[in-house]
Amino acid sequence: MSLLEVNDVTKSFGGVTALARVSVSVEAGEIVGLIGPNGSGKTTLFHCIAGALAPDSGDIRFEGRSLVGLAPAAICSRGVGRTFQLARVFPTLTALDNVLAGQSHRGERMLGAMLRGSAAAVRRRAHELLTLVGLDALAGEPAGELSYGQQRLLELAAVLMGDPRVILLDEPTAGVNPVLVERLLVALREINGRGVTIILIEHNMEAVTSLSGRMYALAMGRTIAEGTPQQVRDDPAVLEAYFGTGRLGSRR
Amino acid sequence: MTSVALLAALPLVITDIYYQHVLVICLVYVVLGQAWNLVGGYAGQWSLGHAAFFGLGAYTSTLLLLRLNVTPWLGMVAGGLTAAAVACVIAFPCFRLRTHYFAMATLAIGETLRVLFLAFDWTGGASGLVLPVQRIPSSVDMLWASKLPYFYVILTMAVVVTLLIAQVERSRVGIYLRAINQDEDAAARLGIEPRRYKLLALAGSAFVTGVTGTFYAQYTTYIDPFSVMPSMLSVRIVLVPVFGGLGTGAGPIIGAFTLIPLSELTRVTWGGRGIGIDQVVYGAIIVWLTIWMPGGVMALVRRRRGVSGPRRRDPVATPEAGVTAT
Repeated sequence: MSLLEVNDVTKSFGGVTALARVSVSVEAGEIVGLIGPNGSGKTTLFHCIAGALAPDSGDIRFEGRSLVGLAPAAICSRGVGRTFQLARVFPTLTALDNVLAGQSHRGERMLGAMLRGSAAAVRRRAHELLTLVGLDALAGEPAGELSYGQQRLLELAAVLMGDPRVILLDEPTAGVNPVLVERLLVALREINGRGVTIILIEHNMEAVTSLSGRMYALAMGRTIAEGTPQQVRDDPAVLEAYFGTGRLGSRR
Repeated sequence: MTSVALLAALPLVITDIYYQHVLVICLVYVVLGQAWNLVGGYAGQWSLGHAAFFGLGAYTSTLLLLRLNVTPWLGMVAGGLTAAAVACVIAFPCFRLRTHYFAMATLAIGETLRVLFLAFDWTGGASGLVLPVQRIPSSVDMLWASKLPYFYVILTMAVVVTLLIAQVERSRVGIYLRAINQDEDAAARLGIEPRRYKLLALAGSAFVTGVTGTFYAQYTTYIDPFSVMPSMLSVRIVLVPVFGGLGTGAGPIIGAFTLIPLSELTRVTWGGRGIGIDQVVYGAIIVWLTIWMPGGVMALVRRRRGVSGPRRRDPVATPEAGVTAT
């Protein structure tokens, strides 16, 4: 049984079919890349998995149980973390509090959360994650004062605080300067090494092919290729989706 | 600590009954402001219907006292629980709405409740309810001739509520509420269930507001829908933390001790002429103060201290504290 199974998911917005019977299956421990031209349905797929959108049909199973119909918070508690296409942090909260906001809610009692502050062990873990993404020196800064690239890293640390089994990263390197991209790739490999499965949408071909063990290519809401990064990159259908065939009049 | 002790000693110096009354009302608004701040300031859910919770508290305890002879000390808790229960019912539809729409819905529900209480016979309708003043003084009935006992009751409430809210702010719930306030979807993505925590904040806020309603009924010994449920009261409650500083513990204290004396001052100076000039002056002063210090007094204090305010020191971040933390 795969860790995450997306079976025949379809999602339409009015007359636009964003996803047409898309199936994706991810094994535990993998890093899976998701590529495709803009508007091919990648982010919509993430929205459906994370519960921000409900699929029109099809099923999404995580650890064998369906996620369809669950609220985003509940899906997060099951162990599915996600980052957004544009980093979303809490600007007036400190970097540390941003990470603490992501602490695991599994088995949490509301009364306990109200009366106690965060236990020393929890805070230490938050600092550990900030160190992992290279932000521990900025723990006391309001998140709104960090650079955009740093906010992306902070968002990642906050998501990891919830002990996810799988994380969905929507263009993690977009808008991040090259030095921080390196830092991010190192952090992602380290996270994966700790047993966290990663699915990432990425336009940075170099980054996604170096990280991923397997890739899917989407175009117009359909899966057009699947396989190793090399296979997918060289697939004629993928090349056509990105560049066209080069022959005039051949486009459907 | 010292400021509380000073405040507690104040009525021994201020023997004039009028000034004692102003002090009591200031403290009532400290409690109301702190309570509203929990749901409005921290969680960012602008309720404009808090007068309804206040009125429910006042009516619950007063009806219990008049009909069943239940002491207001218990009635107070019953009043708070009634307000919290109604808040939970209101929350069900209202939390589907966000920002302005939530504010409009709460305003409408508050007004609806006031009109209902005007129409009900068993609540005395428009003629209201008079507390059993013939029993004065009676500590069991929370009725006294002097203002001093009332002062100490409301001072205790103000201190307890301020400390409680400060504790919530420091706790994990404080982080969750502020996270929900800033980006509800991002909070949900992290596993924080927005509706659950917004409900907690609203119910807690309504409870304290209801308890304060009971106190007010005992203090004024007469209630009707116009005095304990007007929408103006909802607005005045919101004004206190907004003026002092939204989402800060000191905000409602500063707000109450500025706005209430100010409104009393304009009322005494320009009121009683029948043309509402005191309200005009009061409003004008608030507008001027708000232009001078946008974001409230606490934001001004923060700006004066430095661009981004005081850095929060984190105990684990410093090595010497890290050792003792375990």
